[in-house]
Amino acid sequence: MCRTIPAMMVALLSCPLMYSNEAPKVITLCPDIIAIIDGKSFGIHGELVGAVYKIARDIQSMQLGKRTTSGRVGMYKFQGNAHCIKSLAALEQANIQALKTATDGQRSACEKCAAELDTLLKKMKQDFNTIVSPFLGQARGAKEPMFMLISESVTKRNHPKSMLLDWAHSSDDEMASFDRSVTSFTLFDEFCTDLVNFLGDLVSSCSKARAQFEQLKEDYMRKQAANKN
Amino acid sequence: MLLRFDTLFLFYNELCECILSVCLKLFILQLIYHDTHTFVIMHYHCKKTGIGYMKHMKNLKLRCFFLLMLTCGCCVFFIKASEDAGNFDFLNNLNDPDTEAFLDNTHFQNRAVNPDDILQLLVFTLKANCLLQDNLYVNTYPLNKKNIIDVPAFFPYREYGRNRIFGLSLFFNQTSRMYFSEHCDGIQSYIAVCSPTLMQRLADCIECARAIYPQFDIDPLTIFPLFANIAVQERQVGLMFRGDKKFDGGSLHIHIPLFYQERNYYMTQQERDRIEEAFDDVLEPASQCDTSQEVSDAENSSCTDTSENVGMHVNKSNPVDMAFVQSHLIGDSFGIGDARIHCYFDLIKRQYYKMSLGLVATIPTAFAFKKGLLGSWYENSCTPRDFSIANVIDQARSGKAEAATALGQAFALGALDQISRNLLDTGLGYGNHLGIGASYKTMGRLSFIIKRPWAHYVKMKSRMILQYYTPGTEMRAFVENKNPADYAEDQFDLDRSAQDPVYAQERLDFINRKMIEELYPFRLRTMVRPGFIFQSTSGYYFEAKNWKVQLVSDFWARSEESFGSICTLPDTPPLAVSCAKRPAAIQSRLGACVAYSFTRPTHSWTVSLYGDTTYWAQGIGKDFNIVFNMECNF
Repeated sequence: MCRTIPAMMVALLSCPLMYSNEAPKVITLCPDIIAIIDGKSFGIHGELVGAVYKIARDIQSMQLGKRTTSGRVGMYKFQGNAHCIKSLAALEQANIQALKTATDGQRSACEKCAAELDTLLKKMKQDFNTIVSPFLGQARGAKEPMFMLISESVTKRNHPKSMLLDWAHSSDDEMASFDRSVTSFTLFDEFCTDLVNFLGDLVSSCSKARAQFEQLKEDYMRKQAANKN
Repeated sequence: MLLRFDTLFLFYNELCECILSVCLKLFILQLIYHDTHTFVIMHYHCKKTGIGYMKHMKNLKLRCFFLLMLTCGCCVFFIKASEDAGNFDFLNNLNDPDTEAFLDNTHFQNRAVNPDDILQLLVFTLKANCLLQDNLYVNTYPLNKKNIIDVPAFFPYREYGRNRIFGLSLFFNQTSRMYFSEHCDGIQSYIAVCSPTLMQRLADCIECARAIYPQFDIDPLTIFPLFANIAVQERQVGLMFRGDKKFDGGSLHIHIPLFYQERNYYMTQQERDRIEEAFDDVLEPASQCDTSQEVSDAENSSCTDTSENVGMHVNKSNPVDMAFVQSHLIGDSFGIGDARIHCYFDLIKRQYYKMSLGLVATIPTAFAFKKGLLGSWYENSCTPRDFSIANVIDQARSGKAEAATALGQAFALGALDQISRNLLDTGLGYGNHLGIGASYKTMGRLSFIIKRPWAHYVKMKSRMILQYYTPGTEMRAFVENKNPADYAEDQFDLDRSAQDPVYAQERLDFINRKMIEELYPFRLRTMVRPGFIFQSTSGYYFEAKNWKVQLVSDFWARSEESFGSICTLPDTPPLAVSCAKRPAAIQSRLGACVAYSFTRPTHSWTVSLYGDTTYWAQGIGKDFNIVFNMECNF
């Protein structure tokens, strides 16, 4: 008994080691830039964090499906089923594989499916543009620092060839660059993942802006509670 | 603080990855298996119960208690630390129902720019206040120039065979490098582009800005001195109308010019190349991708030497923007200049020697019919009272990057126009100053000394003029006589600005105002006393039949001007008045003239070509003149 309890304590202290691999990895972005913009009215502030949350949520809804009480449900109809970007990417890959092995009779069906997917991709890209355009409008004023932060995020996430970099560094219109780069659902899925990760890294790094956002949220909750009473 | 189980695990995730966690665990094991006496709580318990530590440590329950206390304590500490360090779960937070409800029901508008934030950015991040401690302008006076009517070629030297002379001269005058100060013809003595203090402060500021814009890799200590040798050139071309009338015992002479005057900045080709190279080095990293694309395009499109193609392309992509040059780097005008009147009375009139005394007046008739023909006229470039840094930052962060750039560009170009207004805008005469003076003129033949036939054809003439220019009002540029302490960091209270928005706004307005004043000098109506101008000219003539050859030496000096009243405004700070006063100027020149005369029954004609150049000058540029003169004596 004398040694059992301490051993249990050691186990208690050691168990996080097992948990560590599953914990979400959070990247802290360039402290020099963050120190200048974090919590500042001209930089990343509470309201902007709110806007970023909204964008990330909307992108996730497109990518994984809209959250409902019964789980996530795809927002787009394809061949009678609700789909999200991820499921469409899987469908797209399956169609590509099918096209490789298809007989002449099956080929036309596969090609039709590919054409329909392409049409849906165009529509979804337009929706995506509508979601991110308010953020882009604000980010355009600080293009270089934003590019640096994106670059750091994708590098630390071991994805240095991310399309997000081209998108952020495009000298002309970001939307045009996005349109050129994202040519399939697989790439679209990858792009959305990178963007949400970056937005997460940005918000995670800005502790002051997050605190401002939490304050706004608390105020809102308090007001809601007061209204209910 | 909400302590949740998953948060605890997140803490351990960080904790177990670092050495600290290993040390902590070792320490805890030490605590379990060996006795320790370092915990205050144990010490307190021991004191209270009177039981020794060793005995306590044998108590298993107490050991467990200490262990749990330590674990919980560490948890609390590290969770608090981890929240700041980035163990925040964005996706988890995104799926939080409260957050979702809040996001659904809130429209997030961009926050208004807070003056305190901008103040912090400018003062504590960029150290922009240090830049304001010194004036950018070293001097603000208009450059010294010599009036075209002072060129010796237009003076009345003529022998009056008949009563009247009408002359018309086509002239060209050029000053290749005007002087910005007593001895310097580079802009460095006018604008502090070489001031080590200012440049170091600018370098520090840029270093701070590089945290946000690392590609903003400009070293002012290297770049700005490249502009040090920028010169201002002046050219004048036009017609001089001359009239002489002889009367009993004297003569009257008047001349007045109609001309076009142009001023521009000037750099040698080498200087321009060095600046281009420096800026290419700065811009190279940013444009590397584009350039590599261009190179590959060039390789694909042609089999000729690629480097040559690229070179041509670079040159084509950076042509001289003539519209920009004409709008900001050239100033010109066309009109009439001041009129000069000489009235001489003969004191001695012999065959070998003549002497006259006279009155001289310079009438301020200078008037421009048209300003800004090829270039511009900067008189209307005014201070941007509504410019605000907060506005620029607000535009930039609202996504209106182009609008912000346009605001900044307009401000910078306005500042350039202010320099041009000082240096390129110049009247066609000496300003609104009437010149009144006395003149002394002599003529002697060499045969008076050397009794030879040829000596009769050699004449020596000399003339001296001393003129006083009456005071008059002019618009003059002034900068603040600065006290660096007013701009020190301790003048900006960070804590107070965070709490007091009025104070923050007042301090921000102060920086804004001083930044404008730094680049846009005050234009104030000033009573200017130009002082005296003295000119002495000597000529040696050789006459042979219809031909006449002349050698001229000329000395011209102008006293330093002084100021009377300056119409300041109530909010005008103390001014650096000495920087606005034109310094004294001296100029010496040599010239030559060849003239041919032919006589008709009722009149005679003289055609001459005159040229001169300045060989020594101080406080004024070295100019040269070419004059083609035609006159009719009738």
